Amino acid sequence: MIDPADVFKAAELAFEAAAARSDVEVRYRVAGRVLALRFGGSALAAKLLPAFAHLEPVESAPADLVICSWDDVSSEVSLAEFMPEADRHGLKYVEGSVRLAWEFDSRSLQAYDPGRCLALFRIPAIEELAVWEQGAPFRRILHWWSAGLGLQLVHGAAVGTKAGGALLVGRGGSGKSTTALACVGSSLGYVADDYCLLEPGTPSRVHSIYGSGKADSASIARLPYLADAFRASPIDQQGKSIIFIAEHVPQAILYSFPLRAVVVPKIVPGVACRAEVLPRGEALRALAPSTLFQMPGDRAKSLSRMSALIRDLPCFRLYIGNDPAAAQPFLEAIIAGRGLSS
Amino acid sequence: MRYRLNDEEVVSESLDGEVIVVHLQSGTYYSMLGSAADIWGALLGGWSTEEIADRLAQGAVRDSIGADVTQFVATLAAENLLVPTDNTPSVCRVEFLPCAAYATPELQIYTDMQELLLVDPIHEVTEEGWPIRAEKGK
Repeated sequence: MIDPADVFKAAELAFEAAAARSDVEVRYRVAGRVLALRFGGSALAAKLLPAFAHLEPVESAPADLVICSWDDVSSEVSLAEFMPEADRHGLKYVEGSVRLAWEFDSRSLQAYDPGRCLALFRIPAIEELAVWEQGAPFRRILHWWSAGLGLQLVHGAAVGTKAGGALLVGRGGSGKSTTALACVGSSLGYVADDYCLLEPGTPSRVHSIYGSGKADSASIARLPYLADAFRASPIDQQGKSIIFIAEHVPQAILYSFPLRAVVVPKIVPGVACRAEVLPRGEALRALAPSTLFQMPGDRAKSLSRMSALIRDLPCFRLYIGNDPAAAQPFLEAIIAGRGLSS
Repeated sequence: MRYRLNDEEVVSESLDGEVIVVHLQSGTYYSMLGSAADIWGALLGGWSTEEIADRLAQGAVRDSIGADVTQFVATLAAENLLVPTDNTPSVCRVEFLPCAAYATPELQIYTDMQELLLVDPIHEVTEEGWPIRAEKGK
């Protein structure tokens, strides 16, 4: 039997070996905290940093969380002896003095030591890094860390202004990404299309983590403002293209806003865009399961936090027809508290 | 019979009269409204199936309601949302005041997220169970 703390220690040594060859460090502000990202190799930094490049850079403030990333090839230290058996799918998660999560398919390790606010992200080789990981790196690490601060990483999109905005929730394919991306270039700023951080409070706030946007070919056809950007972007295993909004429309980026409403989009081809009030329980069903099923650890507290957040907010279903841009005036009205009309 | 939440695999919350229950291993989630939500709350509050039926009946046909409650609780147990517990009445049992006029309890079952867990299941293990590699020689 191997102690998870020993796995963490071995992984930390592997990172130091990689960093001794090449150490890249960048700091960003996330939800008012300082996130330090260290990379054992510039090639991995080039893959993972674009998702954070829209955030406010920080020069010298002490870090609230340090995430160290590397690959076995760069470090020339193999962690294979700590790998679980490979004939399974999904993720193996262990929680103790440290948290560890192995992903079987990518053979990646994510680890977090809450006592040191230190996290490790290891992949076997840069070539094996999934495209979707580049759009939303370190999700589980950021979930563990933020949960310890009383924040909640959620599967949801967010658009609004500095005065307030809406959280768009729903399972994959529900239209939240397309709706959020359709707001780029409008009066509504862009916080996220897939994952963001919620900070409970009065009012609760939404914070941006990733500046990426994902869309499949059908959605791209309905996003003419971003079509050129998507055309030149990498495509993930599910056929979705990934762009980084700040590279194309930097003025659209918004770091944070007070949360005014929860919106559950539903794409129904051919219908005119319209909104209706939604029971809060239905909004929680749209938000919570898809978040909980992706984020191991602290899940009872996570559900409680999401429930408390929705309890204080008006919730709406937004029917979206062929043109997702038609949703923008409805979202503006909902955010402004003007009700259901555009 | 008394039950408790299967809290190793299940999380639940109540919001505006709707109970939402998520089974983290199966990928199934559930919704309960009205009498179903009342019964769920009473079960987690330490009330037995029989006590809940008695309280819900209140002058109505006890047998019919008793059968409804028994069947509903059996469904909850079959879905592994609840596990049987000591049948001793709890001294810290919470008050049970039904919010809804009685109607046959229904459990809404949602399986649309299961594919997410089938593709990307989360195997939670204790520190004692880590890692699998150590078991290979068995």
